Amino acid sequence: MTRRSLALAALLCAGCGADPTPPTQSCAHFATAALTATMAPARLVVTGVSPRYDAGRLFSVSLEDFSVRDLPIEATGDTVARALGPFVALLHRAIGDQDNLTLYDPADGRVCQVALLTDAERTAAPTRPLINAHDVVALDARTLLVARYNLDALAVVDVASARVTRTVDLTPFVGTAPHAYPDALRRVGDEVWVTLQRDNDPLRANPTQPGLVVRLDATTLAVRAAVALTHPNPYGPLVPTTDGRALLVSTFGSYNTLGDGAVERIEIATGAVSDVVDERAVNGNIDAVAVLDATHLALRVSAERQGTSALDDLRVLRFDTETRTAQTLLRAGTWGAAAPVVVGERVVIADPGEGYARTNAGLRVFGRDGTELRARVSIAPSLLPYDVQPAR
Amino acid sequence: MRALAATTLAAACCVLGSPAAAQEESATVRGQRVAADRRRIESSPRPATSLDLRARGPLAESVADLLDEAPGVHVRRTGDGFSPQSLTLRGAPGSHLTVALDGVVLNDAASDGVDLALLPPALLERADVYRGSAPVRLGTASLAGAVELITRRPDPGLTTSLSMGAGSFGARRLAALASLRAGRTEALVALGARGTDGTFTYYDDGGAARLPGTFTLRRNAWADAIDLLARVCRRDDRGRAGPCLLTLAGWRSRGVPGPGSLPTDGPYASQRRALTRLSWPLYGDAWRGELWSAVIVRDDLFDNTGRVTLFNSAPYVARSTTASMELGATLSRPLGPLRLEPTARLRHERFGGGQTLDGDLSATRTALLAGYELSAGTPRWQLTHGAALEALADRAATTSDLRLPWTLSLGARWSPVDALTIRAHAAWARRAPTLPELYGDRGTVRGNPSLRPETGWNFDLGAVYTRETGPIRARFEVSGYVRRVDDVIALVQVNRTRFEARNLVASRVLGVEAQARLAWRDRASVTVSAALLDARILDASGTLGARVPGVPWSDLSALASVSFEPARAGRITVGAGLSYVGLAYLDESNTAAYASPARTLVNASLAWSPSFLRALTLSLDATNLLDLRTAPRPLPDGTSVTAAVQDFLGYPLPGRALFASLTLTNRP
Repeated sequence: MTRRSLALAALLCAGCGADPTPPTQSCAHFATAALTATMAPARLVVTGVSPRYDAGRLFSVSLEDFSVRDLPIEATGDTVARALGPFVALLHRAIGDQDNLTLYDPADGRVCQVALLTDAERTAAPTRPLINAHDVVALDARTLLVARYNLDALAVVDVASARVTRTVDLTPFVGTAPHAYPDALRRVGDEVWVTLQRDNDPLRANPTQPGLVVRLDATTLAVRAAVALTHPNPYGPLVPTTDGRALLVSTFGSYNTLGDGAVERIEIATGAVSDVVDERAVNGNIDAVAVLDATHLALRVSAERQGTSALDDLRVLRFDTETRTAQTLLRAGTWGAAAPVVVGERVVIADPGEGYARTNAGLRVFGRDGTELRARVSIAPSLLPYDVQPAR
Repeated sequence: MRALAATTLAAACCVLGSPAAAQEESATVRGQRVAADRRRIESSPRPATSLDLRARGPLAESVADLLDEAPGVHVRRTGDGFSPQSLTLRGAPGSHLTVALDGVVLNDAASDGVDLALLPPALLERADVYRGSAPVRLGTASLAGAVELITRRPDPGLTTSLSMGAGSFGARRLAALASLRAGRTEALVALGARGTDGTFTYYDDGGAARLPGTFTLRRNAWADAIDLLARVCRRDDRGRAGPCLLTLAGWRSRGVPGPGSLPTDGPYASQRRALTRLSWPLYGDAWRGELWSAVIVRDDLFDNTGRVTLFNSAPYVARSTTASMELGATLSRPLGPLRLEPTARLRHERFGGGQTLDGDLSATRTALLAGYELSAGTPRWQLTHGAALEALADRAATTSDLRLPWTLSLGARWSPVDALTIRAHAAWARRAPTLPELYGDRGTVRGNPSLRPETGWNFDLGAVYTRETGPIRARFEVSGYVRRVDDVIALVQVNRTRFEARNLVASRVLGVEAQARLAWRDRASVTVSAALLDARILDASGTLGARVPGVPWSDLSALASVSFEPARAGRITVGAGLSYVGLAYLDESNTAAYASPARTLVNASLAWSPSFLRALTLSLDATNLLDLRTAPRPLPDGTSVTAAVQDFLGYPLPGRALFASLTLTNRP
């Protein structure tokens, strides 16, 4: 900033107006062992967004009676939640709006907001970069690890001070892509796994470079291994199989191409990768997976218009990995981002609704056996469920 | 300083004209012509406001600034006057509004409306805002109305003027005009140049609203534009208007700053455009008509490269070209007690372009418009009727389609007494989808050839009271209206990377508009315009739902100026303006945290023409005098945070700005 600009800014700032005092932060409140606790979920935290993803609201849906209430904490048109013990981590990543990590305690409403850049990153960049946090895990009672999709480094956050204290460099893994595009994080024993999309054609969205899973030591955050996936564009969470020996991830490749993606299985012990369900088996792009039982998966399948056939729809399938047959749990004509969620004996599916006003949008609840338990849980008029997460 | 004064006086010498009496006479002639045109527009059954732009146009920042005083008009900005702007009229989006320049419709088959920031305010003489519907000659797609801009016309004799100014944020404007009417020839050449550094400060929360933000300088918001207008006309040997050639060419380049919390460094957009119109009036014993042809070419470039791209996306360059050609004819002839004005127009548009990705996307639209306006009446009453059918033949790649949008209108005006006019007007129209909505853009928008046209109707009822008492002229207008549009086209996200246009929603708007204009000689004037509107989205069962995003429920504009001449000081004019915009939700779900709160902007101006050099006027304009740049944004937990004042989420508006200018005018 030049001296003339500074003088100009000072002159023109006269009469800026009285600004409200920012709300109080309570970050030390969150730096507790509870961050890493595994708790039985009692509710779902649901982000409802407006049909054009301009705005969002957060809701708590009881797993007991599926009653819905507003959560008094802000959301955006692109906000996802992650449970960290009794707390909720909100990843805001709305361009032009909020782009940060916000910790929220539903019990007493306390909030801690973190701007996800180190001081060095803030000063080194010519302008503030888009961060776009995609996932977060707790490493210990006061440290979080955040996947910053638009930056080539994971952020290590000290919760008590609400600062990013260090980063984990991912540039060695970009391959032919302009960026690593880290997406999902998961604690696996004494490791943290992170999926990298490594999209080498982000403008056309026709990637050819397979995705990668990087395995980090959970204490030192040193890289232990990198596991190459078979297909491009891993998307969504790493979900454990029922036998605990592997993790599944959906890779959808390109939405324009049928057959370049699958649900892939990664053996924890050996790192071996194999396909579980190919796109062609379900005639669409698999962009979310949940494990129902040893032989059944819940798959979200998003189809692109293929030639003259109107395959433009969203389906959620209960797929039998042995018989290779599928039961359709949901079919919709519009896209919705929320992945199926398995909570106890139930699987919760987000229905994006139809039309401009997203008529009939809400949650649908099934048993693991595919039996419909609740036809619809509506969260709010004209809002579609964008993200659904189990929480305490 | 002495060099500057010498230069100024030298320039003044070159444009000094004839004695003051002659100046006053030609000013009267010019003023009478414009006033007559405005009365004709505003006295029809169709509600309309005609704005005289001659005084304010040369150094205005944008056309939108000039239109704001018309009732029912609301301008949404993404920054200063150079940034993309959209105009809503009676709660309707820009895609439902036809914008025309000297009768040539600027809306094209590839765009959703016309960006007003691209139009040169310095080269305009008048703007006619038609509310609710548009004259048949402007086509069938005017679901909400139309704005017709009239370029400068030559005055009798030789007229020259030069205006220049500079101001806050590196603002710079220049307007030069020379016109000649001698014998049967009249010619006008005008140049307008505008520019800005765009370096206004704004509140940046850094993407974390709960943490303290900072006031920072807007980056990459620079802009430059040059526009050239040339008009040559001939009158026939009876002094009637004859053939006329008009050329308007322009070039604009501007930085693309991105949202305030995610600034860019490098991306820019530029446009080159040219419009040429040749018209040939025809005269018969009892009729008159006009033949015309027009060509518009436009080349747009969007360069998203540089150190920091827009939204930090992968760099790319996109270019598109549009060319259109039209031939048209209008006629006006009496048929007994009726007057018939048929119109025909053939227009062919070619759209080509693409990103540097999938090759060119090319599509064409050929439109044949046939319509008429029929009127009958006396000075006391008038009935009007208009109808038009447009055959649209679209072609893209291997697809071709034929569409037939139409428009129909009925109007009535009655003046029970001289000063009072009561009017009613009803109109129906259909708007065909644009070519990208139908066939996609090979980028993020996927085509939907099954789209239906948007259809709408509008009904107006109003009254106008005018009175002239000695030196005082007054005009009061009030209108109530209801409009509805079905099958509104909106983009829907169909997967992570693609959008598709679909017929999704209906909207209904109820509104009241009012305007009061008072003038005392040419010394003082007050104009107050106000609008209240309830714009709602209707669900599939017709039930009223949320408010239409981006549309405030109330709008008020007030402008006042007074001139006086203290002894030997020359003429001093003081002006003030106030603009109030009510709360507007920015999303379809009317989320409180995403509402643009009500705001009031205050402007002021001061102008001085010294007695020793009446051709010179020095002016100082201040906009957003109270420097309103932030507003509280409520949070669901009952607290609030600071947010920048904005019309579009994430795009801050500038604060207080000053602009100083001088104008030298020679009139015969």
